[in-house]
Amino acid sequence: MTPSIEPLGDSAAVVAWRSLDEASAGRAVQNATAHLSHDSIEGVIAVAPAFKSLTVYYQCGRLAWSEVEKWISDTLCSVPITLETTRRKLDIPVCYDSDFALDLTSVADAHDLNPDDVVRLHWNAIYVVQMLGFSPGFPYLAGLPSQLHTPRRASPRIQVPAGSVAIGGAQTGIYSCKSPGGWNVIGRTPVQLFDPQRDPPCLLRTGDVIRFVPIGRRQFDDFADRT
Amino acid sequence: MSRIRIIRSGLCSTVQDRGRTGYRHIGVPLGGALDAMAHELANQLVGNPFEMATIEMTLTGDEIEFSDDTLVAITGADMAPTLHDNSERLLPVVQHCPMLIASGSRIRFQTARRGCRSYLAIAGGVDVPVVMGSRSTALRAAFGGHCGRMLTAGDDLALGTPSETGRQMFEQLSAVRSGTGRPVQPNWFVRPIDLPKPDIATLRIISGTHTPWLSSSGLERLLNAAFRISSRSDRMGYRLTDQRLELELRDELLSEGVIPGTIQLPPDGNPILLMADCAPTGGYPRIGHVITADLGIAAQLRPGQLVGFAMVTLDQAQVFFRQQQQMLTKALIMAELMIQR
Repeated sequence: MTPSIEPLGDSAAVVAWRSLDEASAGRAVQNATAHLSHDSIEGVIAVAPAFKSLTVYYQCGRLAWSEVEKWISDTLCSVPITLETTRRKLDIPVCYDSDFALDLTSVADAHDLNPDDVVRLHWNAIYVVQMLGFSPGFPYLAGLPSQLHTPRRASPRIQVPAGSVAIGGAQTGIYSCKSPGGWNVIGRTPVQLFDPQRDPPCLLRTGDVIRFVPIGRRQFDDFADRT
Repeated sequence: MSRIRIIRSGLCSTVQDRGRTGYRHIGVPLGGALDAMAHELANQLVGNPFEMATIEMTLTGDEIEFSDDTLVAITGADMAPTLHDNSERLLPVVQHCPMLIASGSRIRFQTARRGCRSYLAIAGGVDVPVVMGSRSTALRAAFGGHCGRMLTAGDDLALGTPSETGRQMFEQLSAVRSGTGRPVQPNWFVRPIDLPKPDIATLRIISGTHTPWLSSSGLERLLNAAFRISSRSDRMGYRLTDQRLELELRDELLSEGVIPGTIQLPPDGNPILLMADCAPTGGYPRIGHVITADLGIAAQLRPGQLVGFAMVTLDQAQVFFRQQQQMLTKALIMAELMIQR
């Protein structure tokens, strides 16, 4: 399917596959991101994937819109439909202890479930990193069981602790840095997802397959102490 | 090694350079000086290469002490800076021009009389560590710059080594100095970059993906009404009040890319103008984008001030940006000629 190529201001472009379903759009985005990054031209700064779109940033002093548009459509024309990608599989330990699971009861109540069922449903699923955004290293994960789809909190928290695992609508995610946020927090990981001093600074990549491994409070503290 | 010390801190002073360009795919904001032109001009006036960091001050500036004889330049908003030597004599300072100041002197910045953001460039740059390819302070994620935060009283910052041009300028001005500790400035200055008009400023925009979603009265108001910059505005974005815009079409959006200059319309109808520290993606309709050439003007708008928008085409926007770059180059060539004399 041919994506739409639209200007995003005078120094970026959005390439979108909005009418495709989530999974196909995700594959198209990853495929196109890989090709555009590989066949970059002078003046293009970066390519960043989102859910059903990607963004191309360019220097508007170097490239005119017509050149950018032509480069994108030419590159995407030559893209083979499927790209063999080896998906990384990662296990992320999560502690669902009540100290961390600030909204576990309200999520359970919203679905007439026991908190234990919510936790089990949450870690039993397999997730895919659809996009990194919102704050540095924050993964938007697809694959949340529909029984757990929960609207965001009516008023966002001013500060959500780093590592908080949370549900926002049909997605789950991890607050990689402490930040304000409106998602329902149901656990916390001791793993540091984003560290500006590390290379690469971000643990996860778009397309990674994630499994949550439930851990107890003592394991959480041990892990946190070690790192 | 030369150092500076913050004696009194301003409202929001941070170390900035041109930002982090290569990490938006993992959610890291571009960041960097909000008024990129003023930052660049300040750097060039002290012979700094483009990657060096300056101090960006917001609305109220700092009081800064210099450990050694130092070459500096100030651009952007007019914060009525004065120089105070060891004997507390007050000496005026001319902006948009290099200046040699004596060791132990302090520059005192006040509240901005015009504009919002002032840039202090120091020959050799502010030598904070490079984190993820930039010295910019990422305030919300709390890394980069000086300890990932705003400058505060007592902070002590190291300076880098001046470039060859910076060193020559320093020598020339040192030779002129009569040993009185007076600031030495050459008898020229580059033409200041325009600051927004104090009554109502105009920003040029191009249309966004969702501009056609606006109702006809919404579009009419976007282009003809005056919006007020709310006090809830910062380096991430400005909230615009006084006018509510409504959409004719409404659809749940998935997060897509946004850039500094993007005007988003949240459900409450008050637009948000995104600035350099904005997240790389956003889920609100994009009803327009301030053109890159006008982002410097946007950076100089003050809370409470009125702003209007005028539509141009994408091609025009890119031409305006190139013209602006040429003007900057011309100003700098002039400055270089004067330095050589």
